[in-house]
Amino acid sequence: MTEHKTTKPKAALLATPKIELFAGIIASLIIAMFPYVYFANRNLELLSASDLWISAGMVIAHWLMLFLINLAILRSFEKASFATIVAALPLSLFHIGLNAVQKIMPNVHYWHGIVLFITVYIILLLVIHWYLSPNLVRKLNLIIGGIFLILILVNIMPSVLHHFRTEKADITVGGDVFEKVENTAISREHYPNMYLFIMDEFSGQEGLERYTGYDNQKFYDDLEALSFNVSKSSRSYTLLSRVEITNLLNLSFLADFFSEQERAEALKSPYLFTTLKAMGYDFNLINDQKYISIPDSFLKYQFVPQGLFQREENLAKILIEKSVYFPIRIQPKLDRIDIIKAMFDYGKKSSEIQETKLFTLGYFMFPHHPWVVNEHGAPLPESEIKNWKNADTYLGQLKFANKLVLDMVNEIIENDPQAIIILVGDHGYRQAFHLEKLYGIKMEDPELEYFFMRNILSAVYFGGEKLDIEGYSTINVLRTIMDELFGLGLGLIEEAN
Amino acid sequence: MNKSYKILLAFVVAGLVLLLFSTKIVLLVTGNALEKKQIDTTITSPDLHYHIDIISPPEGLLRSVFIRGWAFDTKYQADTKRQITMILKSDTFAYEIPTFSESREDVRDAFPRYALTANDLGFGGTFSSIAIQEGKYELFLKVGEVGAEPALLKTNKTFIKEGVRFEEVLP
Repeated sequence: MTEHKTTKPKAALLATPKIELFAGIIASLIIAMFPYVYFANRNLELLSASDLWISAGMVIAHWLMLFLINLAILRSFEKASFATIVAALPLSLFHIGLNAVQKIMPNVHYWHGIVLFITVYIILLLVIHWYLSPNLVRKLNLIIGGIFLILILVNIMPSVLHHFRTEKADITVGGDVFEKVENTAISREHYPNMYLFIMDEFSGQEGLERYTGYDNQKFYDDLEALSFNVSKSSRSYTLLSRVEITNLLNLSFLADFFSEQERAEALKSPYLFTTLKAMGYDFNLINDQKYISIPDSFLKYQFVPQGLFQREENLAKILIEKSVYFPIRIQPKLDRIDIIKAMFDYGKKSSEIQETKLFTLGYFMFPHHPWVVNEHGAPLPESEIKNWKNADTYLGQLKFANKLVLDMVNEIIENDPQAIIILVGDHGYRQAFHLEKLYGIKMEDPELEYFFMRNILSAVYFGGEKLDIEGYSTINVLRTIMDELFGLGLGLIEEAN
Repeated sequence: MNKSYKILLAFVVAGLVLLLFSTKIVLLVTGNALEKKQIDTTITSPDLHYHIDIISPPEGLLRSVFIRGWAFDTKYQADTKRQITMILKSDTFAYEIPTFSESREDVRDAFPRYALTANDLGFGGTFSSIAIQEGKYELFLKVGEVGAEPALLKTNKTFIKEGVRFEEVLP
């Protein structure tokens, strides 16, 4: 009896630390993942599936590296877990902390933070090694891990609930549009080259006047002098680029919100591409930020002007910018200006690639922030990069965009006078939306503001011919062009007003 | 005091020392340290033409300022190698900042009367505003052909360094 009584607790004692040990390691991973969960959750609508996977991989690799270094130094799993817990958050949120300190002490620089972190980290390692018992460390691991697990659940719960409540209700797939692809049997030899340039955040005339007071008439006059047909009252259906672009590449209003899976699915073989492919078109893509996720199998040519860590809107970038590794993201604003110029140059050169049947899709995250130039192309101070409060910042970059756009289309028309050139914004200037989101400045009449924020650039050069597009959404502009060129009989869908 | 306390104390002291000298070390290691010099800027040449195209605001970890423009001496010989350096002059001392040279066909075309060759008419240079001592500075350019005596010109651009700010003082 006695022997039996003593054996059982021994087994339990042996088993418990193993579970606690494993739980401690998981706790350190949970803490390392916390910033990822927090920022992913805040930007869920803007993120792609690849963003989420790449960033998760990056965070896990970072955690593993930290853990292995700590394990090599401390030679104890529980202590290595605790040291990782202690180091993970300061490293992940280093830049936020540094910014806060710099507000009080402007002469504190990055390297001061690094020296301070390393000093404190080494001292903590020694303290953990010499003074903390494995039992205490195990308990601390579990307590801290538990707290952060609760924080993660609190963070993600509203999004999960929202996803299940809204996912199915919002989707209205226009199936009839897709069926026509298979039946397309038209094939001619001399279809013109087509250029669809999507300028992110390029406001139309009405929105621009409302939010900046600027009359962009000269730009429209210059476009008309080049035989463009312009529309000042065109609108996007939504304010979200991912949704709008997915919709317009399918020539149909599929949804006002896409889950990531649905968006990826809708871009696997977008109607515009499959139809043009059936006509014998080749595809050329200018892919700023690698934002357009159409399969490479469609593309004959592609221009991606920056690598993963130079892109502006992805989770990996957000996490790096908040962390101790933010210097690898810093690039002179002149680089961004050079990238923008390189994209417009490539746009010009696209008119020399093929004489006919080339469809060039250009996505330019411009004049969208980062706002890096004034109207003369001179660099702006860092403080203006995302300054939604100052409409002049946006306006300066838009005026510079005017020049670049005119310069590009002028050269394309010179090289390729039979071309079809479609210039559109994916949405207008969303100042009111961001002032509310970032600063809590409420819109008095949200419906009215959304009406103006959806006013977009819309202009079409149709081989020098007239085409009435006034008030058309980009989807209807494209459907009109497809009907005019190929006689598909697509007709128009309900306008975005 | 036992050994472990001594080791901890040693790390604290080492950390503090590094913290105090880290800016100097970083500037030296990255090649951004600037030496104070005495440069006579009283004699400037009337034969020099110039333009400053870009003065970037301080950016990045080192709060680097980039200045780009062009300058030439009307007495330049064709196809010679030219060199331009920037001088930031305060009342008591100056910093001399090397630049890279670039070809400027637009400048050559704008001044046909001087029969210039385009090479090395343009320049660009970066310096860390952290390396600059607080004070007021005038920007001069030292322009000349390699191997010949350079001439100085005053750009009429003045900068002020105050705390972390480094800004052009607009007239």
